[in-house]
Amino acid sequence: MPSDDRGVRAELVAELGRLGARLRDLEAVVEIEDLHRGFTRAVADRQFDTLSGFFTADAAIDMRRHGEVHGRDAIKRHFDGMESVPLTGAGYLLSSPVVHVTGDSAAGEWTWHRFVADATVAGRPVRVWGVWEEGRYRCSYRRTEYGWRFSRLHFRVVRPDDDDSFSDRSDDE
Amino acid sequence: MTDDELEAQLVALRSRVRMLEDVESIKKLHRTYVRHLADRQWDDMLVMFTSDAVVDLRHHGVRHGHAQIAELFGAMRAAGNPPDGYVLSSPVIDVDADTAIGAWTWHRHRCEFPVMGGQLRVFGPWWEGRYRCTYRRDEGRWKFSAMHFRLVAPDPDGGADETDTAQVRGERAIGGAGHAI
Repeated sequence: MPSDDRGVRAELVAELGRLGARLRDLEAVVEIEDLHRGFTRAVADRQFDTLSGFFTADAAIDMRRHGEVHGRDAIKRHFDGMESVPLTGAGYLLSSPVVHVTGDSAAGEWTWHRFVADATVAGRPVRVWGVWEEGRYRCSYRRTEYGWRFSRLHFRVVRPDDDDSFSDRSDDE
Repeated sequence: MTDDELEAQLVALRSRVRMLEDVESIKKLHRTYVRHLADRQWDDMLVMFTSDAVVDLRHHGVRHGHAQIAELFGAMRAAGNPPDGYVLSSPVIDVDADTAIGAWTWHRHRCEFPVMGGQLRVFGPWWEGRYRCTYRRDEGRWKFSAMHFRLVAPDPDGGADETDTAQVRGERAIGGAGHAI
């Protein structure tokens, strides 16, 4: 093969590599969105024993009023504690993902809504339609040998009463 | 495979990858815009529009260019900071080189309403709206070049002509529409 042809071939192969990298980033966005949606669906279904598996071993979470929790084992204990929080009749809606991938790490922001239909009045359950909360996830993700995982998860309710100005709450995500 | 065949496949592949990237970029743009809208971050929103963008939001009238759009956002800022929830869904984006069109569904959940002496917290009311937008690549970044937005349910927005048409069809006029976006 003449040297000019080898040069053309090398450039085509290099271009193929660049396209492969761009496609890999697009696939990563889809995989990360799947990860986060799966996490929120597991929260909605109260599958707390599965939640720590969504995180890297050294992950950190910072959810509402609970403070920062570091490491998958501590995260598991955190979610185990949520099993005792009775929250039924709640629907979860995750929307507007904006995910930026840089190699094997990524950052993402999401909007979250919880629609609550059960309330307690004088110790008795009451069905109340219409109540909602809006929250924000700001997360970091990392590619692992098992796929993408959360390396950091930050979550706050922002409306109608934001967590930072209304901290005396008893419920949780 | 010859070099020519390989190059032809690469050109086609490059086009497909670029289109997927463009759709993703436009989704990010619009999702970030609505998150800023929810958070009332008006100062971060103007740069999301091309300098010659056309904006037509509900009853506010058509605005042309950054100066008029900034004026519109200023009026919306003055309307206050209600604790409303926003959900943006169902994007359909079609890209054609450096321009694109997109349709989205929008929901706004309201929970505070003015009563004598203050605000009343009432959960339940919601609105559904539609964005129909055009986007343009501007110095490598996607921006809104036109934005059209109307409520469609439970009370659709409409001008006088549209209201008359609805009444001819026998539709009831229900109070509640016509508030600022």
